[in-house]
Amino acid sequence: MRLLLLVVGSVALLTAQIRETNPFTSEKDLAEGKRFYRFYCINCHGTDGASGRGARLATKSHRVGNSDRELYQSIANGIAGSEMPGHWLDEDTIWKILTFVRTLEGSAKETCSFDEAAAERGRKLVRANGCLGCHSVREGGENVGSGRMGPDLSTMGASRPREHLKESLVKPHAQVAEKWRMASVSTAAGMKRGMLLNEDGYTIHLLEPDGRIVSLGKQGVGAVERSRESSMPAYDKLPANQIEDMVSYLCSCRGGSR
Amino acid sequence: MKMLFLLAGCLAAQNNDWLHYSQNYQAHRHSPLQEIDAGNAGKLNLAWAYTARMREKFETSPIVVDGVMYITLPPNDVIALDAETGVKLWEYRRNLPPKINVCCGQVNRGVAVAGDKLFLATLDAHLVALDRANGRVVWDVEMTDYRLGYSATHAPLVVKDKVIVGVAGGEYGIRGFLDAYGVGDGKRKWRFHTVPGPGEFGNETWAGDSWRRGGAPIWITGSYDPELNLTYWGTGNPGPDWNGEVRKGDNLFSDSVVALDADTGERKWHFQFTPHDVHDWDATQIVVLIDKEFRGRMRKLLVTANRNGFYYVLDRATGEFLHASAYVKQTWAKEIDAKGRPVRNAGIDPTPDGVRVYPQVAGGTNWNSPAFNPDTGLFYVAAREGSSMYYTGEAVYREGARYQGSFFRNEDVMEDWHGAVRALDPLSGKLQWEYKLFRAPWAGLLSTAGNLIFAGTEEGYFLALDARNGKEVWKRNLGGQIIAAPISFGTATGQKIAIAAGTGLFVFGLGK
Repeated sequence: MRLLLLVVGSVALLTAQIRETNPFTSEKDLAEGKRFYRFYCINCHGTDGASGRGARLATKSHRVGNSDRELYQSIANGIAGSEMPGHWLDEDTIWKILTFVRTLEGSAKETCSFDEAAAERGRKLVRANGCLGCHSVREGGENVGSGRMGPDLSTMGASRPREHLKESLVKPHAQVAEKWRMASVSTAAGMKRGMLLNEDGYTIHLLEPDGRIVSLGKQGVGAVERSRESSMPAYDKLPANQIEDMVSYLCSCRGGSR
Repeated sequence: MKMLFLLAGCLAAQNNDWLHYSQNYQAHRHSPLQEIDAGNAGKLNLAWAYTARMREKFETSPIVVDGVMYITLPPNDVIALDAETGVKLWEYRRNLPPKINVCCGQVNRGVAVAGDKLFLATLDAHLVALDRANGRVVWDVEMTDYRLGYSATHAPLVVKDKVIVGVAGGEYGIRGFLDAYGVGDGKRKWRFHTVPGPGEFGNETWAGDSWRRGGAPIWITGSYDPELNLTYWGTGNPGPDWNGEVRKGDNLFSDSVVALDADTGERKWHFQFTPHDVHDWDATQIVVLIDKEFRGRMRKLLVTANRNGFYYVLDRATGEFLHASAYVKQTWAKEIDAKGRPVRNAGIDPTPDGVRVYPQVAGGTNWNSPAFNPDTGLFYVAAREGSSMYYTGEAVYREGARYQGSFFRNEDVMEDWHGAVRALDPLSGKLQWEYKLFRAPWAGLLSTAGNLIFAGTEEGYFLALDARNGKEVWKRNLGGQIIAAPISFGTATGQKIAIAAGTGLFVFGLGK
């Protein structure tokens, strides 16, 4: 409880000086915002906010909140546990970027459409193909997978376009976030392999596929080798209709109560 | 007479005290205490800690006087602690206006002390004198209007009867200056503009009226030579940072060191490290004063490891350039010529698609303090290795708003970023030893007469190294990023080492 109070206190402090609503909404602000978006956001979110590996911005339902203030904070401070970094930008610039991002919402088109029957078939295929050994997903308010070696799937449909999800299934090595690359370290007891939780000047921490956290002193072990590839196997041998069904299932994962 | 008294009060340092931001006027950040040494540092233990809730970087360098430690907490508070136990004695909380314009966090690096007063520079560009006994405000003067982008973050420097302090704001189109205020009355005694106005020397190095927004802020504490009565200050980047088109010329006195008469603020000489900078390579590194034989005769020297990647040796009486050599990887200059001017490589200016240049935007080092040990005779620097991508953009000035003219990116070029604590020969800049760091550090260094160098890491490790060879003799993880410089002081129970890390101040001793 005390911890909770402290956390709430810190958040209150952080948000104390941020405005509630965006003061930069003129046409000129929008034009500048578009320019800034091109500099800072386009690599991950795409020109349309819907075609990159980053979260979809062409939506009215952002994962971490829809208010001006919440989105301001996402841009300024990043989103913990995701690839979204904080940005060393002044307040005005962040608001102008948000002005442009709001126009992407306006043009929001469904980029991850699905039909229920296909999604249901996909739900079964995801289980049959062992996806939940590495991924977790929340369905109907319950965690039905506890895999730790890949991203949580619960909101994939809300934030990723269909094409990106399909690529992740059949060509998983095409775009791999740093966080999901497997790391290997040679030790006296043999090769250790897992997700890299920490590396500093003196220690390495790996999360092994069985969920154990291994701590290694850097003395006496080899350098960390990071695979360029994802630990995700390619599902390119599955029939095309099964791939489409699995993608439909992922599109249906929107963080709601499905 | 009053002046003499103040001078004596300031300089009659007990060995146990730590009276200046960088320990002495020469900015050596070297403690004469030698109880803790390379032989026993392995037994260092926590003596006490002080923690506080804060949402900003903890950059303080404590001052210790007569058994009391004075630290600053972000954004602009001052806390007095019993130096033996860490018990809080009083606090000064400053109410700041809601919209402060700072590029890099609402931070403060420490106070200065003279007699019964402490001096605090504030984010709303005031200078405040506090009663050392209870933290009450003795006087509070506005240096300039913070709403125009001015702020102040560094520990002031007291010289005789004056408090010397400068303004930050190089990302806001300010016109930088350094001020001196009376210790007793807080009245301004002189002002030196780091960007000269019309009719003043150097104004012609700014195209058109670009001098009005020329930046050249001061955000790290200077040094002082009592014999020459000169005070030395490093100045920051020209504004806008990465767009030189709107400010053609050398842009004096940005990215320079200026030597000023401490009584009048009159410029005696200047030396510009990076003329017409377009990479944000402020010269706001600590300028260290040493006396050494150089090429056959004793010289009063000024040495500094600059953000642009070069280590410099100057004659501090005349400003004459004596030597420069790279102490980190750099790709922007072919050489530094005989006059000290860089000969630039082609293709290093920012472009619309970005250009990759070493060192990184935060430089080969930054404001994090170096140290000089008169016994080993070595200069120590916390070095940052790596490059940045530099882009061109538009420069549109609006009062109080950011005026950077472009931007940089690090994300795609960080594969070879790392750091090191390096010991350099102070005359040749040649590397004597290095201790590698996993990440580029923001922590400063401390040297002690026990032949130790204390350093900090991004991951929160606090280290003691043997000053003679760089061997690690002790380390502890303090649980938070270290973005401050250590100090050393003494109490009834012996020598102590203090460092801010994360949201805490940690004090170590041998635990007698």
